[in-house]
Amino acid sequence: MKMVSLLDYSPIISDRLIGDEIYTKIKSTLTTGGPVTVDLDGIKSMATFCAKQIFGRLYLELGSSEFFNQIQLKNATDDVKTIIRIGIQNALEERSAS
Amino acid sequence: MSSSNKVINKNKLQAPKNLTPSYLIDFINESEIIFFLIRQHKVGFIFDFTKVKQASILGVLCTYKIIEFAAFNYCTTHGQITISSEMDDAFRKFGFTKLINTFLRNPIIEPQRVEKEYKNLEVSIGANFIIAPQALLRHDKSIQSSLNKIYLPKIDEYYKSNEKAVSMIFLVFSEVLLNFWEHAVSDTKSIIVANGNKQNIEIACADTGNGIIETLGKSLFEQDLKPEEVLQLAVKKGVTSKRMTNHMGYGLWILDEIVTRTKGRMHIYSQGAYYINEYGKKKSGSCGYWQGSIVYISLPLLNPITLSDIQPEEINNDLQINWT
Repeated sequence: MKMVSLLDYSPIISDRLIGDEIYTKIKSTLTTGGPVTVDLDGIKSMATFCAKQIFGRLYLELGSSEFFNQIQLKNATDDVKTIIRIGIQNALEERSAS
Repeated sequence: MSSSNKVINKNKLQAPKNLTPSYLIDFINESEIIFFLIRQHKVGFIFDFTKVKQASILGVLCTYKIIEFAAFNYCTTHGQITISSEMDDAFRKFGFTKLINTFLRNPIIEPQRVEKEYKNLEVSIGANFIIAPQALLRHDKSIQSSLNKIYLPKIDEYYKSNEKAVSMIFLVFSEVLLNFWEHAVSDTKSIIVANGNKQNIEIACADTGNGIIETLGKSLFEQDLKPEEVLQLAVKKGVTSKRMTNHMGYGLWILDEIVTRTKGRMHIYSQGAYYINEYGKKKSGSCGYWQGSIVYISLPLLNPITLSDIQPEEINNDLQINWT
């Protein structure tokens, strides 16, 4: 399984440009032949904006089943897991509302 | 923004005795005149800080930003800045001496010199304190890199014996930074500062660009709200100036929740309004005009709070996510 490490972006992800970069990295790794493991080791926090920008977008694009099968999230702290869930959840709610 | 003649005719900014969070409104009321003097070249204006007896990191930050704004926007000509020894000590303590001296000691402001001093802001750590100023320069990749590679790791290291506090502090940084990066729009040279010890940390960020009232107010214009009502809404969950984007309107709400639950303090000042949450008691109202935004947070670290504590019941744990 291919690996995308976010260690270079540690300890926090709080910038739209960085969020775009991470999304693109994960997406391009998937398109060259997934699945992919995203290693969140070192990431201590993330702006909710970035969680939605990266993982919310991927979840919507792939759908729940493909997201589960194609993307493995590794070494996320409990807080980072919560932030990512919130980002994905908000993306889903927004799509339902639109 | 009011255009009171009484404000414009003043030839002096008299800083109050206390430049601390509890009295910052006094300073904002006094300093609003500067934002009325853009390109006015007011001759002989006096920035009088001689009465200052006590200045916190927030007071130092706001003092610096108002002097910088006046210089870069040609508000005054042949102005005079006088400071008390206590103010001088505060600049030194919080690492602002060289930065403020680029304005105090040079009649002609050299933007490159100022930017050089921005890059020289340093974290200092003592036996029982950490003081950490950091410039946020959008166009400077090295500054952005040093934020994550030097500045935040030092804060992490200082508080490493309290992992949950680190999570809370970094969550606050994440949301504050994102807000200032996103909503400042132009590069208005925001500065973020942190000051603390093992029991408490203060984090403050100030800019003189677009303020919360302007950015959020535009999206709420049909509601015809007063500025303080805009700030009250700004801290509610889901309220954002940028709907149907990645902006969720969670940032200020998260900060407000953390402050409430830890019995900390949060002050927001923007464009004539303030919102204050102190130990769970909230108030808002009108105050002097500040172009841009000031966000101040003080957090006790004894019982830190993270996002998992704030809304466990609302998180959809049925989301299909492959955690390992």
